[in-house]
Amino acid sequence: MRSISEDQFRSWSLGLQNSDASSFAELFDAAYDALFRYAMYIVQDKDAASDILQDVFLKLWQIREDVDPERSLRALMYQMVRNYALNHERQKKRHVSEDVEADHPSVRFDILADEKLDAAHLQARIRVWIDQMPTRRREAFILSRYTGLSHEEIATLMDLAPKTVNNHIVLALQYLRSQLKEFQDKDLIVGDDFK
Amino acid sequence: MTTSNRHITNKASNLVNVLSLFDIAEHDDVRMAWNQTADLDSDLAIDPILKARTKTYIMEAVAQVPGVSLVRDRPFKLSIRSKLRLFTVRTYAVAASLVALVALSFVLSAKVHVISAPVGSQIAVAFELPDGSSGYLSAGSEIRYSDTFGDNVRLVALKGEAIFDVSKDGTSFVVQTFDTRVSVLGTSFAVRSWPGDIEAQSVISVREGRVAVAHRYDNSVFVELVPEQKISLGADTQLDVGNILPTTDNTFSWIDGGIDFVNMPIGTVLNELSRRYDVRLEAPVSVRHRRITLLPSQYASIEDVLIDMSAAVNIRYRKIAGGYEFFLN
Repeated sequence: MRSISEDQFRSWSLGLQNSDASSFAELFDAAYDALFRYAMYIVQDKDAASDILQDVFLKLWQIREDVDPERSLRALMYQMVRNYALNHERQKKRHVSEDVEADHPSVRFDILADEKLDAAHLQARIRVWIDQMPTRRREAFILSRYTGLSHEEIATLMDLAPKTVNNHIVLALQYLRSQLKEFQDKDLIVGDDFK
Repeated sequence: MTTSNRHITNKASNLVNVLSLFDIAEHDDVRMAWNQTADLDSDLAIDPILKARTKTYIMEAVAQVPGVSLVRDRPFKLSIRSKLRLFTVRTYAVAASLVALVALSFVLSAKVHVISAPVGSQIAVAFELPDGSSGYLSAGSEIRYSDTFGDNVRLVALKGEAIFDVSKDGTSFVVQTFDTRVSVLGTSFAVRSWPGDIEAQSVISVREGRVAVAHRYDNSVFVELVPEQKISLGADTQLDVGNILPTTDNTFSWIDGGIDFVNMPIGTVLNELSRRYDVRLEAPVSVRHRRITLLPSQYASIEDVLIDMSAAVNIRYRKIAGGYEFFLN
């Protein structure tokens, strides 16, 4: 989604305003994958993520006449996915007792579970490092790195000061950088020291 | 800086943004860390079936009833499902007033009208639309339109097979199936589109006038058909004038209960017959994929058809609960 230009999103916004179904279908095709991944990152459940995307696109069509082509449609869609996803999490939490839902962040990329994956592989390591970040930092980093949202848009989305977003990203990159250095120095030693 | 262009100027590259927060001496390292994380997000595979299903659901909602709110978990079932069987103009009037009464209890919901031909109707069921257009539905087929029919466009959703005689009133008349859009101004044409069939596709045949045929979600490319032309659109079929074929004498024969099966998968034929005769028809998968041509005729009963079929492809059939099954010798 980060490779899609703002102009393209603007033309989809205009299409929405004119109730143009084929441009809406185009938007769906282009935006679905990235939004699905973002929903998955929050809810960790395929069916729930799929429901969220369905709700978001339906809602987007319902409010199509109020979508302002001057505002970023990309940011709006991420905001909607985030709201629906967090809402879903809140509802789920109500059904789960407090002690089960401890504050330990679950592993986000599901990579540790995949034993077939070579743990020494750099990419796998990086995923683990990202997973180890504190929740908010990880989300800020992922949004900055993979969605094409500006830091100001991320700040609005996460309800943070833009400065805080910058700090999160600086800390995330500093952490990744130090881990990378250590990794290269160790010359690809296999082990589970990262756990 | 105004709100309107902030997101454009500020988003050129988040890396540039980030780098400005670091000491120059650290830039190479930060850039390396940034680049190393490039493609991690594409790692979670997207399930194409889930995506396609969501898309179909969304686009169905978009096309059917603008502005109506749909309830999840009941895909394709809209708030009011008024089933009308139109046999004569008089029953239509009675049914319509009933619909109006029912509608009172659902104030503010957009209404979707459903006209269906019951399974077992061997003669086609006639229908009439609010604009005076009319046509026929084959057994088990169904059309739907909303209250907004005719506002800007006359949109009808079709599952199954129908013939349309479209009245000329200036707005375009669109028939939408699971995979196709057919637009016309005033003409007579048939659409056959059973999503569950082997080699599911839509077949559009024209009797009078001109129609434009496009894929369901992409109306930028279309072909125009004139009388006695037809096109069959599979998922992979190119919309190309080269794929236009002449209609046969029997294309429209189902209105009078006629049968026209030329080189069709047996599975498709059985689906059609079981709708027409309201009977269960089973066959092994290997048989369902074999092709058959049945000479156009009027059959008195389903058994007569089965006798012809079993002779044509050299298989046998026997009676089972609720119907018949073919079995290999």
